[in-house]
Amino acid sequence: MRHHTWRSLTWISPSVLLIVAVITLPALRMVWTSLQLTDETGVSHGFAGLANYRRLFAEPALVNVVSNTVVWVLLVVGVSIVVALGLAQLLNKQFFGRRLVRWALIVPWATSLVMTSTVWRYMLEGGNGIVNRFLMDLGVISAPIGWYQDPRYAFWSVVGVGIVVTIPFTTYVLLAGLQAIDAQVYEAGKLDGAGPWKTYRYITLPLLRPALVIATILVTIYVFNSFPVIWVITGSNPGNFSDTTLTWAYKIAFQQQLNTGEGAALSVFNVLILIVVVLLYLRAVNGDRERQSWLGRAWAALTDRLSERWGRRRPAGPVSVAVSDRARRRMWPRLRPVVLPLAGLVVAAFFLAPYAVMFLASFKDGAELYAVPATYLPRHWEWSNWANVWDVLPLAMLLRNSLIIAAASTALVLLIAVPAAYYTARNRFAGRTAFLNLVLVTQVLAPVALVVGIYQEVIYVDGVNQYWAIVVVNAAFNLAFVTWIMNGQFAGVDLAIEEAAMMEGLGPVRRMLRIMLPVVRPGLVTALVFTFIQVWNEFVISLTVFNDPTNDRVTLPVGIQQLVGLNETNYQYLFVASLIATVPVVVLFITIERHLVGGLTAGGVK
Amino acid sequence: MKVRRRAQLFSLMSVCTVLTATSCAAGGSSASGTTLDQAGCDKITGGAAAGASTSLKQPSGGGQSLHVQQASLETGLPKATARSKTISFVGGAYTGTTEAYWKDLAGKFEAANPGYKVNIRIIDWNNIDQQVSTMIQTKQYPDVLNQNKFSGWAANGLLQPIDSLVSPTVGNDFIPSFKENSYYQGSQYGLPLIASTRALFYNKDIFAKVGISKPPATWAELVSSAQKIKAAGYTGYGLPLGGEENQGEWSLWMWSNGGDWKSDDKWSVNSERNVQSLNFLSCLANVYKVTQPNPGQTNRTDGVFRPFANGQTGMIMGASFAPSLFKQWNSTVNYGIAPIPVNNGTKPFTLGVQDYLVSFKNPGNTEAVSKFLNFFYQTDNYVRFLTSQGFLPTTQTASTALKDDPNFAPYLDLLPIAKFYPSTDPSFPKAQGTLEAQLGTALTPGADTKSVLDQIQSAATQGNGG
Repeated sequence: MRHHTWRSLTWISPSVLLIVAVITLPALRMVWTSLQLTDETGVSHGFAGLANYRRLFAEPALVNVVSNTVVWVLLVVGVSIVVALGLAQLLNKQFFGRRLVRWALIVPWATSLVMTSTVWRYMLEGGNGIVNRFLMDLGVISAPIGWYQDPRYAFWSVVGVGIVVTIPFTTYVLLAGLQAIDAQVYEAGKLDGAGPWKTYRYITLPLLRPALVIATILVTIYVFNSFPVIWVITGSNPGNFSDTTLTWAYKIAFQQQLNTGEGAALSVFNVLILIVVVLLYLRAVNGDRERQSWLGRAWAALTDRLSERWGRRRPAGPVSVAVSDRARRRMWPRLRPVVLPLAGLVVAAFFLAPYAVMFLASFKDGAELYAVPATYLPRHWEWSNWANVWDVLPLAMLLRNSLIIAAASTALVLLIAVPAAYYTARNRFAGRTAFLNLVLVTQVLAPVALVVGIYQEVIYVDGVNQYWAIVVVNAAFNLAFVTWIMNGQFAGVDLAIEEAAMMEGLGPVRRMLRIMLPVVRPGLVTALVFTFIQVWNEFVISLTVFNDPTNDRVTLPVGIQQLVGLNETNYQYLFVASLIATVPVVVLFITIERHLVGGLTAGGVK
Repeated sequence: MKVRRRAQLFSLMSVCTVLTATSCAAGGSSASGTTLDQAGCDKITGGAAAGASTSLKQPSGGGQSLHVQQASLETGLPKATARSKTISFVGGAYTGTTEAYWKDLAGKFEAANPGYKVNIRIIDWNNIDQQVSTMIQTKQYPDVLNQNKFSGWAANGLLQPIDSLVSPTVGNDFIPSFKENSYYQGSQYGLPLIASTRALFYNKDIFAKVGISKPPATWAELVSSAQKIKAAGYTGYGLPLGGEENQGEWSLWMWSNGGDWKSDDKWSVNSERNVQSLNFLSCLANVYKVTQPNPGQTNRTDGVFRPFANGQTGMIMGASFAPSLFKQWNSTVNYGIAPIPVNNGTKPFTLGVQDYLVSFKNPGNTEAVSKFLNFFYQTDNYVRFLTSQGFLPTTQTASTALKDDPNFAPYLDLLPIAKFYPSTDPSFPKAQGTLEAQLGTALTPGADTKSVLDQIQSAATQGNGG
């Protein structure tokens, strides 16, 4: 289309400014730290050259930790995507109770990762964990297993939890993509006599591809950087049995080696690896468009081969397929009203189970929380836990702060990222790819690695404990997700819709607001929910730059953390507060969820 | 699965090659590397094992020469031109009520000293090291900090000598052993804040049931008691070597065998005597099998205190703050308290842990900091802190005030024989960090205990540079 570089600036410069200020500068600080000699208290003693990197590569645990990281990312991302594809398909179908299943799936996503990990740790406990009780009642195991303590199981336990907590988010990203697929395409497919498998393979998957590519990248980054799961569950385990490079960087900087320089070196190494992985992946999936790259060629050859095989397998057994096809066609309409709700119920129960445990535990007293064997229902219902927590924590203040910050950050990020996403989807201009890659790189940087640089900057602009500062920082960290999701959504909309408006003389701003936004509503809602949840649960940066209890400036996750004492953790209050904390997010989701459903038809009919 | 196993094996091999080429390959000495068996374990408690030949030294508290000074009487410190009446206080969350206590205290302080203000920030112990490190790196020093260490900052010249900041009444009131442990190179930089001591807790009901008349006084007795308890279906001894607090558990075993962190002012974490102590812990777990499963990965509070409070464990190393936890958990466990069992004829002792208040050099903060510290150490304010958080006092006045309190009395008596971590040495945090992060791996069956202690030793003796 157009090539006005100067015009592109007005659309994307707010994003670029935000990224440079909040993420690039602290990232440079991280690189600088990695080249400094820092003692165990954090005091710098001058330039160290590459000494920190040399120390890092000489660490005996390096090989183990890197191999853990590779397994962690591949397994969690792979399994989550496959399961989420199925779940998104299920949630895209009409059936009784679908709403309920969608609501159920938002709960694990809405609950902060720290709290979800805490309840998993509690459930996986060796002597008194409810998972052991459940498996022993079923007769699967005969003696309790220390799921997160035993070095043989610890890593696989966190991988399992990682998968479970990643699925809901992945499902919603894919669901938004599924809903953007024009219903007319399916009807055309039906007329051509395509069965469900063929429809899925030749219509759904190709059309879902942009969403799938984006989901894979975002989930990979999300999983790579998902610190709390491993940290909360096995962070205090001696040894590096379940460390990934991210948790190990934290251990190096603040726990074992007490060397922030070496920790920063590992963070730099991390970021470089992630950038390379993501760019290779992007290159690979765009391969059939740019066949000149060998990776693109390899990818295209692989997919061709696979599709050929899938295509050939169908006629290979024509008889059995035909029979089962016929049987299925006869049976399915009768089974469908039973099977789908049942499947939905199982899914909902599975994903709600940890929170049900949390809920029930919130009524238990201190002794019963650690009873052996674990009890399913509280023996004595301690209703007072729910009343006392309001005295233990200034919950109203915490809720108010988090609401203000989450709402403001979400509004700011949508205001900045949506125009940029729209413009980059509709225009080719110099630096477009660079811009999109820059945005993606911001997502690659884990906040915990940047916190020192951010803190220094916030001090410089006098923004410590100020609402505006934490809002701006949160907006910057969520810019990438919104930009990429919305870019994919805008790009997927037929140009013809806009051309009609262009003929009527509508400028780009009005076209975006009046024509495009209603069409991409599912994506917009996904982006909104995602940002809100991320900001609502953000911990490390709030802990550092917005933490002034004297003047009532603390966010909810930071406030709740007060319940974790040196020698005692008040699980009952922790659980009550965590459940209360999820309520606003679930309410928000329920009120706007119908837009997510509404989007289903919006793309097709209009 | 296969890939990972191989990777672990590989990394294990590289641990050996890189760190302890000698101990892995040689394995000759009785103390290291080789698989422990019943005979080898029994030998440890028989006192005839390795390390006995070296002269048995009474381990000394910090091993450092201390220059205890009288608190300076001069109060008029050189003041910076701009005097600040607002100071920041950063502290750790001992319990869910810590923040409430400090906020309340700051309010009272501000009411008593119009114009002054204290901004309170309480951070949980999981995050405090990272947060304080961030403050140091960005040079945003808190005016007053509550932590479990001080010497690293003192060595960097970031702290102000603190004895001159409190009135002589406060400065001379600290129990001498605590005060001595607050010096770095002749100046006092830390004010002792809280203390805790350890003792053997044993379940009286279980002891009666299996017919043991008195708590064990030696390692050999501990093993035989634990075996009887184990045979009755309980955990014999609850051993927490997980990352949460294993430096405390380890110190108790190390000291009770006559070993120490340092000897002759040099780090001696991997001494033969200490390898023997670690081997003994491995014996408890893997040969006598009297501990709970996975002791190397078990944390103290949830993994050992809780089961003991629920009556499932015969013996643990308890702490002075444990009873208040048991009460909070509605525990009905009937338990007794006994001295730490010893080996090799070591004299009775206990582990004393103390946390500090330190003050960073921020221009113009001395007057406000001084006022606030004096206010905090007023007996009623200080005692309220101790009773609300469940810790032992570090001052004589507060000890007197609390000596009739049944929650405190038995532990106050132990304070005179308390031994401390070498926390006056700036290298200690690194040694402790490595110990927390690695010690538990030594309890994996067949693990090379010596190489784990070697890692801790080298962390203590090597800085971050070069």
